Amino acid sequence: MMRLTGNELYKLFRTRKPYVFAAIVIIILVLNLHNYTPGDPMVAWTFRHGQSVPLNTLDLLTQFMIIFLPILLGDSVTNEYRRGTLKLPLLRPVHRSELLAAKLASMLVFIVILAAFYVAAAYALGAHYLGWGDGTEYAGRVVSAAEGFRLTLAAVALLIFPFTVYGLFVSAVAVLAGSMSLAVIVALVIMTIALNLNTIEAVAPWSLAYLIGSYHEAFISGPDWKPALRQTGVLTGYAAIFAFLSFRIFGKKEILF
Amino acid sequence: MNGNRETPLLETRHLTKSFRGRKIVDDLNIRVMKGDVYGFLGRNGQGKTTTIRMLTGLVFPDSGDVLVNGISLRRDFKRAIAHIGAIVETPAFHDYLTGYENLALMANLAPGVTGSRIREVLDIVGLGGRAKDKVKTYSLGMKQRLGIANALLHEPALIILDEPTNGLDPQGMMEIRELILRLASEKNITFFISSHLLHEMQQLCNRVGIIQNGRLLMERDVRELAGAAGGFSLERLYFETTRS
Repeated sequence: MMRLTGNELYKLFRTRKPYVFAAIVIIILVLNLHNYTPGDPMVAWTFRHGQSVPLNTLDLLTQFMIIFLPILLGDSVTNEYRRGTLKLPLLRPVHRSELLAAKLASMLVFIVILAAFYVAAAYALGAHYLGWGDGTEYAGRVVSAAEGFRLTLAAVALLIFPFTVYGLFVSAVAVLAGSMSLAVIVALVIMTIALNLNTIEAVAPWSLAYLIGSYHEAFISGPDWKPALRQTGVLTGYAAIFAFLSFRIFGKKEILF
Repeated sequence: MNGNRETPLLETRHLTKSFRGRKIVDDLNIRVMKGDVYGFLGRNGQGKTTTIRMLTGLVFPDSGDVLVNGISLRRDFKRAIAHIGAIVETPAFHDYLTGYENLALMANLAPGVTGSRIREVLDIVGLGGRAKDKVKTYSLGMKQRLGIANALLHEPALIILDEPTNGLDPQGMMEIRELILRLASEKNITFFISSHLLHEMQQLCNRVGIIQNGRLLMERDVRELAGAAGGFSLERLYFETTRS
């Protein structure tokens, strides 16, 4: 399993994808911060200090994950199936469940690395464009830089859970799809529809599309344990369903290419 | 070439597979003995590749089983597949990696395969000098040879090749043929080769099975026929069998 995961990570970092993703993160942050003026009524953000950027722009990180994970898994699962390279490990003493688990483990490593890169880039670019500032602003209060850093790390660490659950959803789509483009389009279309359904109050608390960007808030704004535990339960349920579907479908998939 | 005739190295028992209601492989029983170079013959679309996919666990049979050295592929996949090296259809590799890197990834999945073994198999197939080149720069013949190197990596008893000379020029076909014969005689590797190229198979195989409409029409030793009066022609045998 460790060797399989190592193989998946080696392949991932030998492609251009992660470096293109990193460049996109930088470009989008620069575009957002270059002309940002605190208090501009046209912008939802209100922070003034550069050190507040990572914690207050986590919705950008969520958007990156929503787009990058289908591309990552579409390539590693569907595209490998289509190109015939999925056969290479499957002709070795490797169970399909082990191979899929390795692909998902490498996805988790990618999520952690991208999240860490985002935080580092947001701190650096925030300080560059706005100056470091004398405190981290969050939810209408200002805390020390150290506390702000702790809150930022906690928020990002918490968000890794819904990102991973979303990755499992994408994985279920990827093992079903016959081509990478189909896998990416289907995952993004379903997510876009779900994001639009977030306006319905009764739906939002149960929606992965809502929780993927807000799961951390109940923990770090309060903590408010009741919604936090409910959201954790909902996400765990989704994780179990999507993992079961992914492994079940992949285990029975006929390798025809 | 034949060694132990008692236990088949590869055996299928009543192997059957349908796709969308159409029977592709029908009650297939084949036996490949240790030391054989077995030619699995049939026109395109007769079920050769589907059979090979079932032999390697890529496709699941509707019924029947595959035994590798007596081990059921269905019941003990890991132990059974460990005896096999295979190229199924065209050899596919990660073309952004070098030939060596591709094999190194596969060596990670086979206990005890070292860097020196990777270099050894690359030399065996004549790719030692191109090991550090990316696979996207390889010709089809070189990819086929890299596929054989990959199949050889963990020193399997049986190598399964699906149309190994398909799409190759005469020089490439000759190189692959000589490589198979050399590996069979020097390394005592058993080969199971599917093909519709009868002349090519006659030069390679000591035993053949002929498949038509998913059913095995005939399986026999052909080397003993080589000395027959008038000379042996696999082509004649094939057409007589399939017509009847």
